[in-house]
Amino acid sequence: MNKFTKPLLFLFGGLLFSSCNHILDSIDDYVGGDFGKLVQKEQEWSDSAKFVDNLGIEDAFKERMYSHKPENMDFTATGTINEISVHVRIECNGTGGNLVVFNCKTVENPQHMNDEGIVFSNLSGNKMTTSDGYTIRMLDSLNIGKETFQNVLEFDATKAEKNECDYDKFYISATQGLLRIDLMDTITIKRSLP
Amino acid sequence: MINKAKFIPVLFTAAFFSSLTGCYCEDCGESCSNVYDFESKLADCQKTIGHYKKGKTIHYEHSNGYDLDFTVSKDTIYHKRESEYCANFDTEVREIELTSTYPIISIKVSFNGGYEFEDEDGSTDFVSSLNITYDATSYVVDLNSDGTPIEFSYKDNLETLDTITFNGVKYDSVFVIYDLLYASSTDHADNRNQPRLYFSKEKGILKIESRLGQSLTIKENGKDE
Repeated sequence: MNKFTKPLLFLFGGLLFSSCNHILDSIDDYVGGDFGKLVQKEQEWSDSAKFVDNLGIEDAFKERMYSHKPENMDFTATGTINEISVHVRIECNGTGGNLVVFNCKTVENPQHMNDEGIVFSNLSGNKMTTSDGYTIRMLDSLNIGKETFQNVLEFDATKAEKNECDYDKFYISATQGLLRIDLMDTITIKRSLP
Repeated sequence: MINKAKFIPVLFTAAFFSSLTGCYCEDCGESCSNVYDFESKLADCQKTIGHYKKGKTIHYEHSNGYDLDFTVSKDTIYHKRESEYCANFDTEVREIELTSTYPIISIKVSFNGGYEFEDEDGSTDFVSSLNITYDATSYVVDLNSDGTPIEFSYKDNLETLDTITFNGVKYDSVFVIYDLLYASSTDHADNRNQPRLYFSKEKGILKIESRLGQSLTIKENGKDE
C-alpha cells in the first residue's frame, strides 16, 4: 500500500459513513403508533364537501390534503359560512413525530397573529393527551349515515383545562378528509353523503 | 397639520429615488436626508359611528334565511407604526369585531385615524378611513371630518340614499359603498352590479353583501338596541 492509499481509504470511508448516516437518519424518521395510518397513502388533493348540522344549516367546507409517506401530512378544512378552520399537520422524526392542531392557541395582538398550535409529541399507541387536556385518538372506523370510514383521527377538546378551539371535537379520515365537527355541546356538523 | 403642497413632492421624490435604488427608507435609512414623522388621530366621530359598544347585540338576517345575533366582541384602540418613503407614520386605529355565536360569522370594522391637509387655497381638509370586512370581501372608504364617506376621485364607489327600508324599519341618510377595490370597469351599470354595503352613521352596518353571494341584513324588532 503506497503512502497515498491509506489517506484515500480514510477519506472514502469517512464519506461512506457520513452518507450512510444520512440515509439511516431518513430511514429512522417515522410516525409512531396508529397515527402512522394517517400518512400511509401518498395523496394530494383539494375539494369542496357539503356538510349539514343538526339544525339543518348547510355549509360547504373547502379541503386540502397533502400526505406523503414518510415525510408528513398537512390537512386543512375551512367552512364557507362558518368561520371554522381545521388544520392538522403531522411531521415525522426519529422519535415518532409530532401532530399539531392549529387555529386554537392563536395569540392575537394588533400587529400580528401567532399560532402556537396544540402539539402532540413522540406519537405512539392510538391515544395521546397533552398536559392541558387535549386528546387525539385513532379510531378504526366511524359511521356517517350508512357509510363507514376507516382510519379516523378524533381530536377531543372537551376535557381541556381551557378549550381555546372553536369546536369540541373533530373527525378526519386519512383519505376522505373532514367527516364531522362537534361544537357548543349541542351542535354536530356532519358530512352530507349522496 | 400637513401642508399638502409641500408633502406630496417630498413623497414623490422619495418614491422616485427609492425606485432607483430598489430600497425603501426602512432598508437604508441613512440615505434619507430628512425623515418626516406623521401622526394621525381618530376623529371623535370615528369613536361613535354605529354606536358599537363592547357587549352590544345587533340582530341580522342571513341571506340563507336564518336570523343571527351579532355581539360586539372586540372594541380596541391602538397605534400602528409604519415607515416608508423617508417618513414614519403613527396611525391611531380603532378595531371593532362583531361575531355571531353560531353559525360562527364575524364582521371586522376598522377605523384609521386621519390627517388634516392644508389646501393651496388655505382651507383645511380632514381625511380618515373606514374598512369593513365580511366573508372575504372588504369595503374601504375615506371619511371626512364628520364621518361622512367621500367618493374616491377615480372610482364610482359611493351613493347616498335619503331613505331605505330593511325588515320594516326605515333608515335615513344611508351610504351605499360598492366593492370596487379591485374592479377595473368604469362603467356605471357594471359597478352597480357589484356587492355593496349599506351604512348609516347612526346604526352602522345595515346590510352587507359578499363576493361569495352571501349577505346580512339588519333586523330590528322595535326594541331599544
